Amino acid sequence: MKPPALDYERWDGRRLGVVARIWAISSAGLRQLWGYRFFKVLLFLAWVGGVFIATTGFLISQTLAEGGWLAELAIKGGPRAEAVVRAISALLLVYPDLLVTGFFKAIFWAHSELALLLNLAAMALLVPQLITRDRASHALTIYLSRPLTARDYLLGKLGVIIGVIMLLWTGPLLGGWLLAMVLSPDGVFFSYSLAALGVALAFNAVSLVVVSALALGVSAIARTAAKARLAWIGLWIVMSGIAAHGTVLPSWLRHLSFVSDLHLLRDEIFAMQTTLLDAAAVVPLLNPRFADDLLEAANQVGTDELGGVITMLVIMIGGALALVWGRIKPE
Amino acid sequence: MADAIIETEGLGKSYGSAWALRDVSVSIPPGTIGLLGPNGAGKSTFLKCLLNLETPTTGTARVLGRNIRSSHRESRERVGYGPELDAHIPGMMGCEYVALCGQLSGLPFRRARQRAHEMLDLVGMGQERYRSIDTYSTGMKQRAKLAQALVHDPELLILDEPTNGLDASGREYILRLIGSLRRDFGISVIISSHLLQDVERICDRVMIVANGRVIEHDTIANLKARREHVIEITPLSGRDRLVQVLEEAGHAVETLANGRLRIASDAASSNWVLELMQQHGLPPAHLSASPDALQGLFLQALATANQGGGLA
Repeated sequence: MKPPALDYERWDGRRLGVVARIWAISSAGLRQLWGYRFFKVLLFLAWVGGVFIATTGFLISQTLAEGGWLAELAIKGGPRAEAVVRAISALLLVYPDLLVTGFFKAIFWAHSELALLLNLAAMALLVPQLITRDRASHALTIYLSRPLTARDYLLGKLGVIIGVIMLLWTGPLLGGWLLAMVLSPDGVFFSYSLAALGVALAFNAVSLVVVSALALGVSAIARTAAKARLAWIGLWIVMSGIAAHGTVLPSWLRHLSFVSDLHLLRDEIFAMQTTLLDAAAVVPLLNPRFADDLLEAANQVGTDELGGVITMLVIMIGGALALVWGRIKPE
Repeated sequence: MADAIIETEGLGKSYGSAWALRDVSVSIPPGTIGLLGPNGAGKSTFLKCLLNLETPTTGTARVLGRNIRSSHRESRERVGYGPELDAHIPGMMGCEYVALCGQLSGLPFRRARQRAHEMLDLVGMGQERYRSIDTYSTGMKQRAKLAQALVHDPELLILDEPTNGLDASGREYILRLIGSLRRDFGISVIISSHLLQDVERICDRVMIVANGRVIEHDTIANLKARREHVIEITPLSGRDRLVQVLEEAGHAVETLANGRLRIASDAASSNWVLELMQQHGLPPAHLSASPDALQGLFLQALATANQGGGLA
């Protein structure tokens, strides 16, 4: 057999730093996920959500703004329709924060429901194998014999989860909003929807931290991907069950469910109660019955359990990270 | 590069009350070093400590001049490791896996991909590189392990049982490759193996570990020089005359079961036997000086260790 060393070449080029190495772990993980059909289905659904934001935002802006396409169409319906359109346009001038921010908050709130569901599905079926498979195939030995620490490895895997959440949640959210702004007839929609976007991104960021920490924790529990998946699905079902019966359960038990906690946190961050109360108080065109309905809705949305929610989520995140940290060892 | 590729001072590792590695102090110069020892001797633990895969309980170590604790990442930047375990990153093609390993050591993506293919060529892998690594045979995984250990052009290669699971031709191929790494490219290699003939063939230095201690560490030549010299002769004809000549010259001749003649010698060289045969007009014979020297040394060192001896 021919001596094999003839084709070996030394390499003295500049080596990239630790950030590039962590990114290599994350990008390889995302490329692997891209190979799964289920992930592509989730991506499709997530971007349908983005289209929903763009479409709803477009319809609202065209209805509210003077000179908007739908407003112009309504004017052709006669003097009564024209009067309504003029009144709405006037409201937009007087209360742009209430109308634009309120409507976009409602859109983003609805979108967060879908996005959270899709992300939890991704975490249940795709993410658990991130660490489990590495442990089962002794890949940790390969990673950690490189110039990487256990923390670098964990950050790389966290990057995969963040990538998934960005693709399934943040991307469609920003994309949909941006498209709605491009299609809106007035700059006021851009300025006043920014606050709502900030709120939506804040909830997105909080969910990202909670879900990614828990996903990492669950993926470190089991030795095989199938067991990790089962554990996550089981956890999700139990947590969702607790969340669904939240009103009849004691608050300490309710807070054990991260699903319930995330929903409560969302209500706090979006503060739909305040928006509805403001609407009921200041919109002069509403009849008293409608204002009462708004007040009732606001009271339902309101929550005073923020302290318990945050405490429990912090404990869960800490516990999950401690668990995963203990498992990042070559075997 | 540092004078010694590895320096340890009082390195030890315990699991509870059991010490897998105890007070190891060595300085290993560049070269091809064989790490020998019976199962459970502490060879793998020693290697894992050097790579920070296990945290040493006591002592310090420097790899390529860098302290493994204070320069955690940097100490492994120019080190390639092929573990004994069946270890790989799952769900990837062979070429993707090796390229990713290059990236993990800091190679830019394009360079990593290019070198991955070069290394897979080097270890003798063909189109299998486009198959999922999960489907590889043991031999193919061994080759992929060597490729990933070389992809980032290390100064030091640490290989734990690199020929396990390889067929005869594959083993020959990999041993030649490992042997040429030091000779042609100056890459130091540490091989942990239980195959003494592999170590004797490609290594210039040996470290024998037993009971968690280093009990021998020297060049193979020096170790052999310290040992009783033995010559094995396979005569083509005239066996009885050869035995008579050797006995008349004052040597005790032992006839082995395979027909070879075995004699103890005071000199390291076997030239005196050739001269003796020439003087007596004996037909040529195949001579082998110290044929099982490493095995003999290994067993001798183990016996010493079991009696409580050791270097460190």
